[in-house]
Amino acid sequence: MKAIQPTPEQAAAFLSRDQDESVVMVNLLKFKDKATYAEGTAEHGEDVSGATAYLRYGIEVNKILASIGATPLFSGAGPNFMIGDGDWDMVALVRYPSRAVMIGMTQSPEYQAIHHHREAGLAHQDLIEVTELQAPAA
Amino acid sequence: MPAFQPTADQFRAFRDDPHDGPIAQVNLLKFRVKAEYKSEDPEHGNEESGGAAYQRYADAFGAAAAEVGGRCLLMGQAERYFIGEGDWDAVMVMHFPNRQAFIATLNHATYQDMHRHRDAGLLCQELITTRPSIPEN
Repeated sequence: MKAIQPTPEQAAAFLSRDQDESVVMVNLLKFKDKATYAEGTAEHGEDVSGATAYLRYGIEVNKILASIGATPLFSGAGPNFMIGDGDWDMVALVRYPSRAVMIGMTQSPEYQAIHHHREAGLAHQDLIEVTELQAPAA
Repeated sequence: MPAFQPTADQFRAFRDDPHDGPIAQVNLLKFRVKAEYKSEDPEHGNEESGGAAYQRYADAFGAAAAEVGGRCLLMGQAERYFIGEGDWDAVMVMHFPNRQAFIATLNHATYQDMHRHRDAGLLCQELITTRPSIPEN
């Protein structure tokens, strides 16, 4: 199933966990070839790629992340599969200080105001919630 | 298709990619429920999870990678899928100054020795090579 939103069950499972625990969200992203801005958005009809639309979302969401204490760990473009045969266009990791902060962001007016860029650009994604283990000794 | 190693074509494509800057290696990992060491391994018969065996590999790999400027950006246990559906147990992301550093880590003197932990613990994986951008903090 290709998805861009959590199912109700996935959202409920997230909310059932310790809301104060820090999590890293691993985004595996697949873009539309061409952006599809909905009617009623200022960008409706623009002839840009899905990646361009998503990048607009990314720039704005990074400002929001900074304001809520979340940390983008990295984003990786131009992916090549060295093992396996998946089909993603980008990988992005964000560390949130708590699950509550992550959910709060998605419900904020600031986030809702930029979400149309995500919807316009994103074909589908996986979003994996991970808790951090000790990093390999260095 | 569950995979465990790069195909010959995938390895060549990685080695010959002209991009000369930093890379981030995104490992999506699925572990064996129980570690399966070979009869000749000192750990043969250990009652432990595949994840525990893989962690030994990750620690040794991280140490070898550090000698050539590699570092771990994330070692994380997958709690669940918030969007989409997959079945990975863990996500490990390693950052290298360039692809030669990654190849040097694979050729490190300790690699053959550490690799038994990967064999024992790992069921399958995907490895995605990306060109990372890391925000300034």
